[in-house]
Amino acid sequence: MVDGPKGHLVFACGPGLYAVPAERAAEVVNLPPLTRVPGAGPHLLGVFAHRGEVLPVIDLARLVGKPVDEPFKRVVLVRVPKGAMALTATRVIGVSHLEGALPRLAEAGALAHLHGPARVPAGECAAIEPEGLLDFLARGR
Amino acid sequence: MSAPVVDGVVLCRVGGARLALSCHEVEHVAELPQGPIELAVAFGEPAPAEGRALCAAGRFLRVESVDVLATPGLAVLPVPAALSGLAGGALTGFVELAGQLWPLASARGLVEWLTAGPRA
Repeated sequence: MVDGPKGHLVFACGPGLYAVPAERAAEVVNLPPLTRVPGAGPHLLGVFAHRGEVLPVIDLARLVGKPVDEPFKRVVLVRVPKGAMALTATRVIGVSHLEGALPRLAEAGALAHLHGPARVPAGECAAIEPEGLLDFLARGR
Repeated sequence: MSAPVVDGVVLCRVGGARLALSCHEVEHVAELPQGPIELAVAFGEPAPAEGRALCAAGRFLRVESVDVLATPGLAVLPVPAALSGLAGGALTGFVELAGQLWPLASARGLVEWLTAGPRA
């Protein structure tokens, strides 16, 4: 549940708009060549080393069941106490304040860690709960 | 606490993917026997027509090509939290060689996971 106005970094991944809490968005970087990992699902594009740390690249569009053909050029690095991940972005919109309590988009799966829809100047977006999403990925989904 | 290291790695390639195994876990490299376990499956690749076989954990694992890097004390980067359950937990870290990351796996864990049949 997202409540109270909080700064979020809004970005596009294909036609969908997504938002991560600004305090969790560490950096936006160009997507470097990736290393594939064994057992990766289709949403896990690979990993890359960044400042001495290995970061997994998550194809957000595919993870939420809306794969896109558009190539990803950038990733949003999201950091939570348990670790970090890089989420694919086709365009970075900017910082917006999301108002009010937002329901989960689903009761299970990856969408259970997205809330919304939230209204931002660029349209409607889904607010990502990064801690829950990382836990979901760590369960091997 | 000192950073984890691995003393020598066997570098395996299959399709466009690569994987490192600790030298201590690989018993020997051999010609292909009948019915090897396919490393390609771990990466969703078709099995190569040719290749070599690594004997590890009592089983033969087919790879497309293999090199041995005997360098001791290679630094191992930890597995990101989001990948902790991957490959049945066989992924143990990453090594960086000549600017390239190599996933490092437990040979035993990998063989067990592949034998059990990875989830699609």
